[in-house]
Amino acid sequence: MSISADYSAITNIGSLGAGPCANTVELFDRSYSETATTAIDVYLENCQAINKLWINLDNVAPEFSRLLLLGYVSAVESYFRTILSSIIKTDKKASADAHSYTVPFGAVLYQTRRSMPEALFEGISFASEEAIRKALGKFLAVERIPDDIKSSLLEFEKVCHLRHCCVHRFGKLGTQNGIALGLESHSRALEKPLALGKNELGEVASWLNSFVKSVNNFMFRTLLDRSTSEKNDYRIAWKWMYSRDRANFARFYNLFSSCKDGVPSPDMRALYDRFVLAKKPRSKKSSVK
Amino acid sequence: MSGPLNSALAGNEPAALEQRADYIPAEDLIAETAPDSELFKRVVRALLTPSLKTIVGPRGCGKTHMMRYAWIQCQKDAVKPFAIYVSFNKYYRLEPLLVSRASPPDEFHAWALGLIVLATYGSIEFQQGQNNAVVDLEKFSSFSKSDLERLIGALERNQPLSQTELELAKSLTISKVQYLIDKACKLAGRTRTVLFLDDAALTLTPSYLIELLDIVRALKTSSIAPKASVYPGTTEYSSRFHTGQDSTDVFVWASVESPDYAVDFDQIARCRFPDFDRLPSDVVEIFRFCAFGVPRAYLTLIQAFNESKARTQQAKVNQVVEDHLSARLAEYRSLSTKVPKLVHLLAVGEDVLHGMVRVIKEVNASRTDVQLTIGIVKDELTPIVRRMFQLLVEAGLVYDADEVKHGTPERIYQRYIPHAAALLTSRALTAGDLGGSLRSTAEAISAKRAKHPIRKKLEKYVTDPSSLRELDFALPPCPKCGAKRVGEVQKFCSNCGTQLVPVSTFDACLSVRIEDVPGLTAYQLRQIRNELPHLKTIRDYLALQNPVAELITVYGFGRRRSSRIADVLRSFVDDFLS
Repeated sequence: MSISADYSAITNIGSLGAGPCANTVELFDRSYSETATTAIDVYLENCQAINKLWINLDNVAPEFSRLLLLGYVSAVESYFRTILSSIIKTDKKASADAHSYTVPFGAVLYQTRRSMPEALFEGISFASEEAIRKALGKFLAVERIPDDIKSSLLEFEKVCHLRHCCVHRFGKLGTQNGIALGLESHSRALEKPLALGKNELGEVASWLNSFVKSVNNFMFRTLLDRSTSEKNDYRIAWKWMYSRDRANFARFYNLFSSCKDGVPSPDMRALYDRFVLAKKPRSKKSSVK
Repeated sequence: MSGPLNSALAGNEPAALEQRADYIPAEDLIAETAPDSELFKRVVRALLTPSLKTIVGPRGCGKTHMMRYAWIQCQKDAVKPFAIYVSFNKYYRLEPLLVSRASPPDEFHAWALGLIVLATYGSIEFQQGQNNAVVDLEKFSSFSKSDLERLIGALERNQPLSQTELELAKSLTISKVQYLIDKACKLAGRTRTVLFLDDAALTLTPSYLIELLDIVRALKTSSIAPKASVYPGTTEYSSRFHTGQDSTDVFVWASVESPDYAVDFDQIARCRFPDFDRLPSDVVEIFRFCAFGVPRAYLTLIQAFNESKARTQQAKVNQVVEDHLSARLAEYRSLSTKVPKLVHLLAVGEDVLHGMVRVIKEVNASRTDVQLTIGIVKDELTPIVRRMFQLLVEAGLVYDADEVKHGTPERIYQRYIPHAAALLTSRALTAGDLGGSLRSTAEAISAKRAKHPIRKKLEKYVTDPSSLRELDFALPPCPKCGAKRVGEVQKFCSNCGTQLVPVSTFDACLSVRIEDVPGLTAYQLRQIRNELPHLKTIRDYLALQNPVAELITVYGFGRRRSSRIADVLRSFVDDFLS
């Protein structure tokens, strides 16, 4: 038996070779093109694909559930990137508001004009309540987030802290995340790994679905509401006739509607009719009757 | 079943018998009340005590009537507590929020407390000369009446809330409401308050029920005593509300077997029908029994008998009783359109009801005394079977006659009495008597009762025993791929991974087309179609902020016609959702 002279050979390495990332281009599926057309549908399809990985298992190992949690939060982040950039591409006011924001020079050189807005979010991670709150203010000019959205954002923040443990500490609760979740109650869990069972994982995944859909509805409502607002310089001159408003309404509808969800969005005409009933200025009834 | 719809159609015809006590004007309510019955006195007494009570009874047994009666009594008598009456009967309009908003409980919370504040103002207003008092209260609490009405309207129409509405909703807290109630109580010159919370069963939206029971419990103070009216078994749904500890139950449903039953019920009928004592005694006996503990049913039966065109008394009675049974059954079955997942439970329940009648008939064929009661061994009542019976009890089709111990070894039996109209239409009491004459039926009703209930296995009451074993909620398949659901709490489809969310059943009502609503004339429909093309469904109607103002813009629609149309549509919605 020969003994190695290398005193640092404390583990047996195997063959490192040239590395798996010699050609990273090859690692991306360049033939892929999105089948879903709206941000919410892309998100739902991504989640459905993740769901199928575990939904029929009897038990989900904690290691696996932690990876799945990363996947779900990543899908949420991706949703916000897509929806915000498509809002900037579609809504005149959002586009004008974004004029003063900077993008990396490389994006200007290599991104197409259509995909340029994506570059606005390069430095932003949407895996936090704060980032989403700020983005809503910055790109949708939402001054006050309604309480229901606010409280679900706070809940989302908790999910993000769980995710943070999974990304950086193999699931173990660190002090920073413990502080954010409430150290007094979480002190017993410090340095203990996150162990989502099948039920808990389902709760989180289902909640995230509902959360994203509620924010989706909220943004749709925000854009429609401000399109009728006197204060908005880019408001839309609604004619309150489907045939004439159809194109304008469709631009918003096509941003937010879903056909991939279990219950698809109501059709455009139905939502337009509801919009008219709620927003059309009421003609002053002639009191002579 | 007539109800508000028919009375809306009949206009203000004085003869029309209003069935829901919510719609009876205060003076008529007093005139129609027979306050001397033992049951009535007991319930009203419980309503005025300073403790939290749940008033328990099935649909139509008089809960609303007693609450409104007690409320009026309190208004008139300065010695009694300050009373506030709130009805939550429109709760189902908030059901769609459960699937379209981020936090429906907050909105429900604001809706419920908002209604209580408005009702507090209402009670103060009712006392004459107190008009400025409401203005004072508004200033004191910073809850403006018109703002609250707007908020509640927006919530019931599922409209997104404006910033000011959101702020108002947020400012409605339990402690502020308690503070306001105490202030109003003082203004009214009373020392304590009773808070009548009617229609608090919210059976179709259990998640709101849990919220409401929390509110009820939290509102209780030494000076405020909430009283909530619920269906039998309702409070079992909430793990946070404990009957006995948090509140005591007061049962309102009179048993047809109770000794005071005949006297109490005849008093009620006498108030409403001056010539009541001229009715044939056999007919009275049959109808009283057939009413099955529900005062309003008794009145409807007599009214229908008086109006019947049938030739003989026998034919009139048969027709009226049969109609009554089919109306009860139709109401029971209509639950399955509101809550589709109950469809199997309702169907098997109806089978059990008929099965009980069949067995009772067989037993009575060979006895001298009369048997009415079925005893089911408690072990056979699994949670799902119990739920099935609960639905029958809630609908008033089966009377829950409590538990009893029998036999050696001793076993606990849950006793049930099937609806009297079902027993009568099958001639289950007079099985030996082929003709089933009025006389023999009336005699059987007043005959001596069997001492013990019929004790048979549960499966004897169903046509197919496997239906009991397979009894379960009817869960819809995955809406996307059609795969079957595995369980009630399943979050995602096991085949395609789609999120499985509850579908709003309120949508069924909202999607009804205006032209399918009974009670509108061809002319009215044509004008609406031509001049209000957007007004196509009930959904569109409910979205209107001021329906009458909208309708009045139509050529040929004056104020009266517009409000009549609005009345018909509103009653349709209330009927559908109650």
